[in-house]
Amino acid sequence: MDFVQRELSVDESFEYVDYPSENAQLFDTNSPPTDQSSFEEISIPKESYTEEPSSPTELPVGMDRVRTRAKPLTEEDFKLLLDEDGRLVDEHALRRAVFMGGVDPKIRKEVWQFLFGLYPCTSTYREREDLLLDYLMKYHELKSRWKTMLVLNAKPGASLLQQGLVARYQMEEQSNKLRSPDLCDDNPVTEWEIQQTNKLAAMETVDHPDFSILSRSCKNLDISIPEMEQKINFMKIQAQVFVNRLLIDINSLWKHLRVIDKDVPRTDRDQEFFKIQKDFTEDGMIMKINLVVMLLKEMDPSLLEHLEKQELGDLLFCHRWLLLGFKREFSFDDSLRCFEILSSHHLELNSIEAEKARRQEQMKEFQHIGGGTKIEACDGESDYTFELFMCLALLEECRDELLQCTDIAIVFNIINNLKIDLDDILLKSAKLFYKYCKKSVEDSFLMVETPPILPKVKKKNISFMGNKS
Amino acid sequence: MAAGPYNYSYIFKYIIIGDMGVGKSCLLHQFTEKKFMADCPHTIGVEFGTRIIEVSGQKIKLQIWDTAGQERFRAVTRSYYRGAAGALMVYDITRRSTYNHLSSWLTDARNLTNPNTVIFLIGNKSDLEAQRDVTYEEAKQFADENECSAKTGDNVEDAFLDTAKKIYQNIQDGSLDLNAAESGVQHKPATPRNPLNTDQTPSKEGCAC
Repeated sequence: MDFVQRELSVDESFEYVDYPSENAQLFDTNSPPTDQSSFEEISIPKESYTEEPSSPTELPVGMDRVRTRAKPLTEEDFKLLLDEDGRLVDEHALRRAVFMGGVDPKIRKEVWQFLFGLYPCTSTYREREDLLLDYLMKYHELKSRWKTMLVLNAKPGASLLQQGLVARYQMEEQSNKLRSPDLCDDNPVTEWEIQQTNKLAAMETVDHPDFSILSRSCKNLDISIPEMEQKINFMKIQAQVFVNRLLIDINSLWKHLRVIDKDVPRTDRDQEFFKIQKDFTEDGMIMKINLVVMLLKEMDPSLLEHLEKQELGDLLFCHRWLLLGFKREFSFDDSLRCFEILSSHHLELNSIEAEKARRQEQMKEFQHIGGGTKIEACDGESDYTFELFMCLALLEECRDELLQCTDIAIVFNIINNLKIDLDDILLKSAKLFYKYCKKSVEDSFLMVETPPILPKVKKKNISFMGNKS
Repeated sequence: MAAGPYNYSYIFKYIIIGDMGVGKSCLLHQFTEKKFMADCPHTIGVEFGTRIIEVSGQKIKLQIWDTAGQERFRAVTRSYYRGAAGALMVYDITRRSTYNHLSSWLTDARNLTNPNTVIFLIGNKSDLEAQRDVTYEEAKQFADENECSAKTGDNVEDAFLDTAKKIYQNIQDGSLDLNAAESGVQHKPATPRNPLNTDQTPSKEGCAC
């Protein structure tokens, strides 16, 4: 399948764009379903939604697109997304493919490099080689600085072993006092520091980055920080934060990463950075949990009411899910897959998918009321990220149990002992996502139709920035 | 798990608090399962354990809330303190920092629980005598404490039982008002699975979680 055809199909319909692969099964929704039980009616003809009268029982539009999950993105399919110089031509297609099925572990390293903005999608093979070298240099520079700082902060006359112990066990206490040449302008780097840095740098062997080492390290969590540091490069630190097992002060690490990072103006990465950072600050976490509360209030007020009666209306137990993208709920492999799927940001309220769904709903609604009123796109709360919809799906999953229960401890037990199938819950989340899109459109029409108070129709600037379409 | 009938006269809510890595989850596991959990993942939010114990001839169900120790999410963890009858404050005898932080844990525990909540200090990892960083005497000055090892199980039982005894004593001498919403103690609950059982029926000893 060629690129021209794909580009066309993006604008042409609300249906799935064919995945650019010879392997038609991957995303071709018209191919015979392999699992009959999870499949019902697959694709609704393009025109049908405008002709059929809408009824309350009708499936929300767009759901046909999320009726099934795909297989992980394979190496062959990924190669097809790259042009001859190695540019990732259609980032949207990559994000969709990752969202639909995750990534084959064999190419995870490569795909994550795009997904998390290590390399710009428009970079060629050659440019990436240069960038990598650049990153490596900066990484080792940073590491040396940290080592120097650790030496400076160790007790005078400490042996190497003692310094190591300080580094390994006392980081937490020391981190506030660490003098960082990167952060304090009034604290110039001394001659001695430079010497130390050079000495330490000379001792280093430059390892070629190898992502598989990290994957192994994730499983063997007792690996020491120095060992780990020897093996990781910039990309791995990002993933390392995901793993969140090291006794280092994550915030200072991030601040330092920013220092390396600032030379590379990449808005994608900035966004990714802030998104991930949210998980590691209390304010960010509480903000996210509040959003779940708001979303639940809109989508299932009676469940929220019940939880409020049990004094659980703050939904603080969602913390467990939102920390590190549901990592605790799945096996190691599934949690990695879940992480990349959430990080694909394919289905977000500011993504093209949501915009399509809304436009479709608007057309339908427009037909329904016989024309006449025409309003701007409805105001979707774009802070509702897909992971929040996943929280909602999980809450709905145990809704009946929750409604029956009046003991806080049992609520926690239900939440802690949920058995979740990743694909199943992703499908349900997507369904809720489209339901929300539909609802927000309906609400906006409702607003127009109900005088006497003239509603303020908010004009929404749909931003595509985060989704690089 | 034993499916036999069990019942109890009281439920006590406990919370376990303390710095990350002091062994809170291991203590709980040792107490409820009598086993040492060697490879224990970080607790996120809260985990639970229950066990029925006997104090002065009364069966008491301990409902133990094991909280996450990570400093970053104290605000979230704080929401679990409410209504605790007992708080086990844990530090690691081989890491002074965990001992130094006790005062902030104590402040939290005092502020967020009721005045009758029994706070019990536990120095964990007593099996690592060689790496000791905080002396027993020093901690003793801070509070009457109990040193134990979640690894060997030494004194773990006592820590939970002594706390329960103290709570029970408070109930007996009337200083703990059972009717107060936040007391952390529930008296004679209906057992949902065996609603016909009376509290007097003899029950199986041991762990019921």
